[in-house]
Amino acid sequence: MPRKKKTETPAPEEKEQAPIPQEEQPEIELTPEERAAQAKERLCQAMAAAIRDAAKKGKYMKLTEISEVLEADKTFALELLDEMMALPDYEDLRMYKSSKDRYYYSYPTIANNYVRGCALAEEGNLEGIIAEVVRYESKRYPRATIIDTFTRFPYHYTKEQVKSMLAVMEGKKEYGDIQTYTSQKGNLYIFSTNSLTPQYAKALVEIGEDVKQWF
Amino acid sequence: MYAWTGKLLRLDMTNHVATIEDNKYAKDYLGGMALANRVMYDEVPAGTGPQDDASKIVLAAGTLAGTGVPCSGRTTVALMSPFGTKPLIADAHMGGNMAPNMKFAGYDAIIVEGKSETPVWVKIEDDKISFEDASDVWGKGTKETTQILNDKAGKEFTVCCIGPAGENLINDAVIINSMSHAAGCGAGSVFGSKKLKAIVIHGTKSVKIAQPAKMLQLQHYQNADLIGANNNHVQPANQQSWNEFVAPTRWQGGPGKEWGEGIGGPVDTGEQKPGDINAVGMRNNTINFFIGNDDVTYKHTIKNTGCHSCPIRCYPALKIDALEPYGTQYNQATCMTMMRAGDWWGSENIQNFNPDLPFGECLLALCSHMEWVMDDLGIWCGYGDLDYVFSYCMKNDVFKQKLSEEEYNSIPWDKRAAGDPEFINDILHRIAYAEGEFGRVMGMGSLHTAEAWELPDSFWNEATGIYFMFKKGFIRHHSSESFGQVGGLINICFNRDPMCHTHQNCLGNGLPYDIRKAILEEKFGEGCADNSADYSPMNPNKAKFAKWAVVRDNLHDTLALCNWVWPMIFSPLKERGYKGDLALEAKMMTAATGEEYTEESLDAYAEKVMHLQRAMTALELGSNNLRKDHDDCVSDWVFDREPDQAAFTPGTTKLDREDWQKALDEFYEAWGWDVATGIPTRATLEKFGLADVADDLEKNGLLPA
Repeated sequence: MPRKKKTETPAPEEKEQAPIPQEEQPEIELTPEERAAQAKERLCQAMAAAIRDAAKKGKYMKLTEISEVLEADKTFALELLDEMMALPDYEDLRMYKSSKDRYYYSYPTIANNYVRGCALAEEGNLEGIIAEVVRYESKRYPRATIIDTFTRFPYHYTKEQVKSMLAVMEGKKEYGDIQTYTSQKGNLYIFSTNSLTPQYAKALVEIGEDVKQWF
Repeated sequence: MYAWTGKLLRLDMTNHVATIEDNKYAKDYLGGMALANRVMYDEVPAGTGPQDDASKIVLAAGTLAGTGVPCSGRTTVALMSPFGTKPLIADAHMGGNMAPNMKFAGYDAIIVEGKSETPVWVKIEDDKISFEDASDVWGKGTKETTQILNDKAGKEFTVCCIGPAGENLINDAVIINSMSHAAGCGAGSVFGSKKLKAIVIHGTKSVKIAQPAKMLQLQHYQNADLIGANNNHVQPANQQSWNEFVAPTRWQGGPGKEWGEGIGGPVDTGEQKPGDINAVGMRNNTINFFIGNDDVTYKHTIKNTGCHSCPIRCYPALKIDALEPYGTQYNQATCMTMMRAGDWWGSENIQNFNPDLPFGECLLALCSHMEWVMDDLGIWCGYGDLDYVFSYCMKNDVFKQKLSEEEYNSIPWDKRAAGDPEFINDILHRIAYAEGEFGRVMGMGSLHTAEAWELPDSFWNEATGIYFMFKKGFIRHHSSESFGQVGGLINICFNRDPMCHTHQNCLGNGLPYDIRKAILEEKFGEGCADNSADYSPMNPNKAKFAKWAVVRDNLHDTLALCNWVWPMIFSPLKERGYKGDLALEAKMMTAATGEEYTEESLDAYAEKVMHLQRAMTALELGSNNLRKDHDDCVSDWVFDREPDQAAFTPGTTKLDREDWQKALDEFYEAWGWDVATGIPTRATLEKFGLADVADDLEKNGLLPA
């Protein structure tokens, strides 16, 4: 009778070690510097998360708000934000500085021009708003700016207010490049001669208002 | 078979016989414009008038109709156009629900031929086709006709009908489906000549997709990453939290922009971030784009509506209580159709509609009322052709000169001055019924109207921004105001206004010029796309851009996709550098059909149909020199506007005559057409499988040497 082949007992399987939850991990002795660095990192992550969450809701955060949320001193929060925004992990975070506050947002979820517009509106300096917006649009698009731009979000001025301010600006040397044109349809446009000649600005306006061009 | 049904439906109106035949054109022509033009070439002899016994009209669904591809609800309608000096091949198009229902019923196209002795409407329910007596709807407007025929056939049917204008064989007559989606270019009078009141169609079959998961993924990709609003406008007209740029685009929606007559209360359109595909339908408000006086259109918007399978919803549905006494308070319409009150009542009289209402309210009410009445009577505006003729005749006292005193005095001019909607009821009724000299002549189309009333050449030459072509009978759409020579060249290709938005969409989509320029130059090369009113002399890259714009337009009319939205040249996403995806049509055709298409292979079908239509035009004109007889007939204003300014200086859109000749040379070279005559060469025709067409041209002495 043939011998039964001895069945070999299989070696016990090497069981994969489950990771040990952080709270159960043996406490590693950190130096004070290491503890501070960890705390700082957690604070940065919390600030970034708050800014990114706000962005998902279509919002930016002002420095004032951030320091309140974190219950941190404004100066400390500012320094920390400046430091962290230089790091690759936070390259989506941007800051716009106005005379009133600093605005933090996550880009591209929040647009640069959205924040700039809101910040300008909060500053409430109509003269500055007109100059900045008009010069930007004349250069960037390029196009003349219709007066209605300043009656809409985020500015909400009346046309009369804008016209009054334009009259004030007309007398100021620093706004020598800001000119106006009234279209054939009677709409007031403002443009900067830094970027547009009056002739070209006029042509762009009339083409834009020729509705039959656009169907 | 995927995507196609593989069948054509032929309606013999003479004998009231319907025949289902195999679609032999699918492989070589795909569908839509290409298929329809080939049928016309094969079956309608050159020289056939649109209302002749031998005339036919082809309603062709695109290959992608019924597949769920965004903006695939359009039907291409091929016919002989009545607007030129001779009958010439042309295409009309309509949105709505016709093409998908044709596919669901089992047909890639419907060919209508012959003439019925009595008015009929044709009921199509899958394979069941019947010719029904239309005596109870003949004479009725399109809205009442649609209601009656839906009551008879079933509300699930799509009704495509004509109004009195078509019945009375007016050139300016449309066929119109789903109450407000019209195909012009005389399609209504062709139906009328055949005594075909309506096609009423419903299908219960399905269109098979080869790669459904892939198709779904592509559609989501398009809706999330690529699509903007109408006209490929990819930045809103309002600052939202996500958009860098704000411009006067058709993307009118935003926080605080409410559909004021929304069902259940006002509906705030809110933010419409790219990626939020459920908000795509909130973006557009085409009428507010044109009549946005203090957002008056939003105040009267119930919701956005539109065509089958389109997320853009470019038709605001309106409720205007001030029109209740006239029975037109509910309407839906889009763009061009809503801009004409100034031409007809006179800008100075609009406020008289109701001095207690703001101007914008009066303007919207009169425009909407007129659109409602035009649709109901089945009148075509020619994209402004009819409007310009009327306003010219008013300004130059033509009516006083050409109408009898009795007829002139019978027109309620007092109602015009009063801004009374009933003025237009009277005027349009005369046109739809060809009443009197006014009605007889006004609905002919500008060329025939100008001939009948002996209007001077200045009617064309001084119509700045209206007639790019001199004495051709169609307006520009869009010509030299859109990228200079590029737009001008596009306008010479067809036998009607081109309705090409491929290039036009690159102009006002909301992005700064440098971004648009970079994306276009990546495709066509440096200098292809001048900025508005800052043109430069012609160069070969402009010819490439112009040719591609036509090819893509033709492709969309072949597939059939809406050329107001496609192609996806740009994207709203800054993460993509605002760049779209020009291979999307090919990717979707591959997913739909299971056959491998590339951007280049698909464009080849569209290029083919241009060569075919070009050859047909030569045959129909009997011309061996389309350059002279068809193309190089440009109105003086194109070159002479702004007389104190030179061409190619900032501030003018004028072109230069010598430069225009160079533009024609380079354009013809790009197409493979003989430079001297503008006619496709044999080599070009053979390259695109049109050797028989080359033989035909040669037989008639029209093929270039």
